[in-house]
Amino acid sequence: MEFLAPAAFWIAAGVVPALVILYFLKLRRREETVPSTLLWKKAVQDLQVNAPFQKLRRNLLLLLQLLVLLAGVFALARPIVRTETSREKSLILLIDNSASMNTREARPGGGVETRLAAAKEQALRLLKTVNRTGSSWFRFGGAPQQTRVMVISFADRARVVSPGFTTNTAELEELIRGIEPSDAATTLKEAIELADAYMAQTTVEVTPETSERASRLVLFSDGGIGDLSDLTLRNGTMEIVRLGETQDNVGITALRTQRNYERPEVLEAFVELRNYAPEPVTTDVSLFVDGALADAPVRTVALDAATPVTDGSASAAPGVAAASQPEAARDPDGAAPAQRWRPSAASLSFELELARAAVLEVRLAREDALPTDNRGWAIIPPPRKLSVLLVSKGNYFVESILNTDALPLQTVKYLTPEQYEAAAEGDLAAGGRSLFDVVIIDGHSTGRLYRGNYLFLNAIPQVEGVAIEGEIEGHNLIWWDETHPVLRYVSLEFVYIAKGLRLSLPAEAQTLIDGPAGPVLARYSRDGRQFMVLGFDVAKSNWVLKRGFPTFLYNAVRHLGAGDADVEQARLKPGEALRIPLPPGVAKAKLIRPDGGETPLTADEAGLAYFGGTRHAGVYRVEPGAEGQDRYAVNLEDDNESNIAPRGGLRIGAQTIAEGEAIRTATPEIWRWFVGAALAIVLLEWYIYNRRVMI
Amino acid sequence: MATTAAPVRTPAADEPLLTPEFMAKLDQLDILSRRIFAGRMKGERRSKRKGESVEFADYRNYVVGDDLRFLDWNIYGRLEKLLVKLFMEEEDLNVTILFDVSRSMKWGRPDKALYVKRVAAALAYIGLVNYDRVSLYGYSSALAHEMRAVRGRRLASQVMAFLQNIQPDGFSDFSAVAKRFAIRHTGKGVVVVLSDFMDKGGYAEGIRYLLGRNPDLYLIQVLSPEEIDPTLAGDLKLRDVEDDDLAEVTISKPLLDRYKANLQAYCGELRDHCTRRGITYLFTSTTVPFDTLVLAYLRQRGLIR
Repeated sequence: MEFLAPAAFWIAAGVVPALVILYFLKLRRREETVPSTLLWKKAVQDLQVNAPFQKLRRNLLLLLQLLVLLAGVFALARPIVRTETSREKSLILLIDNSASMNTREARPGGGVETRLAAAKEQALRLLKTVNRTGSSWFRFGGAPQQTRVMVISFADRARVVSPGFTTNTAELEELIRGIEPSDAATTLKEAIELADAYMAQTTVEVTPETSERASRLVLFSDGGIGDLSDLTLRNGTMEIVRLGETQDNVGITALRTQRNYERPEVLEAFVELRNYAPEPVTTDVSLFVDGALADAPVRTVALDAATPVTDGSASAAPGVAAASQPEAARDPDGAAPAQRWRPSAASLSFELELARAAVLEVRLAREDALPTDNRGWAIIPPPRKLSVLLVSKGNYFVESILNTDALPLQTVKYLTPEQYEAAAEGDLAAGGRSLFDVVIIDGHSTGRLYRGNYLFLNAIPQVEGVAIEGEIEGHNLIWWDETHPVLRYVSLEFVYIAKGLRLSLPAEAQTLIDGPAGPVLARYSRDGRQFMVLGFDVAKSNWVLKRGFPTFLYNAVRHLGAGDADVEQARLKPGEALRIPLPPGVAKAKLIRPDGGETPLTADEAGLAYFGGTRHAGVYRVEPGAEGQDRYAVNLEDDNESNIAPRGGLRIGAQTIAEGEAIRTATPEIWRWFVGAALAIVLLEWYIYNRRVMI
Repeated sequence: MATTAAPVRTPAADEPLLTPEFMAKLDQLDILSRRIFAGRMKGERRSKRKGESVEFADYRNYVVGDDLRFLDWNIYGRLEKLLVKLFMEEEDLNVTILFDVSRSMKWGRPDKALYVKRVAAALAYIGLVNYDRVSLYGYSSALAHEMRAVRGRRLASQVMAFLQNIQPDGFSDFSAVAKRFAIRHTGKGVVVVLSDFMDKGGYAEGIRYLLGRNPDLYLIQVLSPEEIDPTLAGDLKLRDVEDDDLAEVTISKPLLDRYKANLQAYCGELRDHCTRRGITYLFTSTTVPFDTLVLAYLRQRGLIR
């Protein structure tokens, strides 16, 4: 308990002894004659009441009067129920509204509320303890300095909810109530940086008073913060009000779909589930296509219980969870004693015939605390055979690969470089967009580039920043990005290149293969065009003789043909921006969010629209949209967010964040209770005095 | 315990102790003795002695010197034996009333001393009416006032005047008084002691002295309502009216409870003490009208008939 006006106790120091002295003064005895003191003496001896303090002890009325007095003084002292008052100069409330904060928790008084609602409630209660003295009618000394409060909500990015620092707590209450949940991941860094920036602003006016009262940051979160170890807190102190109890959650942590290469009408879906609850669970997994139950069996999956791990062993232990443990868990000294849980995982794969574009949805039948990750969506493009244009003077190796049945190609058109340059625009493009899914240009650097996807072999696109600086003879490859889909299953160890180009590329180009003289294979996007540049003639290397080359060509054609939107789509997460190509000639469109709301979109000159408000998981639809690119699935797929077990012992750098106490009562000021108690005691005293129960 | 809550009437100091109507009622009564004592003068009571009354008592053999008038000639005619007829003797009864007139008795509403005097007057009157020898002793630390061996109704007014004039004074010393009384008062008979028995010296020794003559002993304890249920409150310095002893008390509920419990225990102890020694004990409060005490309670206890 704290007191807003502790000076009231000086009153007590004066009044309480006065009352006791009054009782002592009362001891001047009246003389009374009795026929015999015989029995009185005996009675007095029996009771031994004459000692002054024994007398006081027995004197109920004095006791009650003292109680009344003390209750009055306590009421004047304006007690509040809280371990500490906000006496700092500035208070920053950081409210986590990430996906895990949507976890439904049993409320102490019954009912269910999300962690975010609890966090908002706690923040409001804390807010009520701030600047209370300002409205006081009872104050000793001058007006105390007002505490300035700022509210920041953070998920994948931070947002300053309040208009900077403010002392108007009533206004803040509304703003805090207005914080909306999101399904995004948790990163605290941006919020801390924001807070730091605001605090730096305020400390410009350093006075002795302001400097001694540091800013206080109060974090309302469940502790599932991924990026704690990267953070430093430059000024102020931080404490966390940790929310949440439950860890009952089964989530979809991965959903991948892929059309069978040989049979494009067959869709393969891979689902990974994880159980974060400490009990084993079983759940039904079902597939929905465009909202209707798919023609695939509903699977029942049994998952083991999550196992507790300590921080030290978490990083060392092999298994699915170890790699995906949050950064904080890999704290090198492992001093934090917090219990972590390693989820159990299960993978499923489905195969179903789906010869059209659709939205595939995976649902878990089990109800758990966090519903967001019980559903996952994937946008299935229509089975599409690619049309490829090969511009070449004749390349046996490339042509023979394109002619096999391995690639599901619709059309392959062959042009010589001269024919390409001379061809009418209508033969190559429509509305500025290439008619072919992939254009392979072999040994011919050209500037005739419509919007589309290009694979340059031993040549470069004539765009700004790309140039050939010379030639290089006889070299091996030094490094390549094995994880890139284009180089998947491609072995480059023993590739020898007799003659290659020395490429100069812009900084934003993505190097996929490095040679001794710079990039050999690079990927570069610009103005709606996607280029992949291979800087040597395959005919003058031993690569064509290896299995890796057909695989590379196969991957490259598929990768380019699918378009980069496909790649981005595969891993859209809440909070990430959508890059939406609009159909040619459409300048304005609307985006329909999963909750049914609409957002207008405007295309830029490249025909692209951007949307940054993917706060919730689900399917976002563009209307009108380019064919095959009008729907976007945003999935949680975040191990850190799905792991809803509340985490303690958080550290920022080397500093452990103190855990603030949750505020339990909604009425922090309790002086009314003391006034009530004083009244009740007065009544009791009057009753006792009148009834002479004990005087 | 006789604590009838009757309306308390405070008699004026000069009011006669007994009203004529009440005396008329008392005329019907007689003091009883559970034992038969030898008297000193002719009276209206059966005595231990054989004597000259008309009531036949016994025969005995004639011895030389016996009054020939008492020979039963009818027996002599039948049996030729000389037998003397014996008759009951009727003599007077010694009625002694010891009453406490120490300062502590002049206390309470109604006044304990006045109450005691009235009871004494009533008992004395009954005795006088029945030709008993009545002795009255008012005592405090000694036998301060006495009126010995009065007999006959015509002395009643003297007795009343004697009682009326007694003013309570001094402190009570029951044992010293009882010792003195036992030495001086040789006659047997009924002894009635009226007091509050709040004696710091105790009552046991005094009672022992009184019992030395083997009288028919009655103790009547008179307490005022203020003593039975004190109305004191606050922080007090209590002064003993007799010996100026001081007691500092703070009146509280537990203290009052303790006082009452002590009083009960004190009275109970006195009663038990009396019962064990064949003494009749009677407790009364001054709120009990004294006529009720005399006409009802004393009759019940068998002191008067």
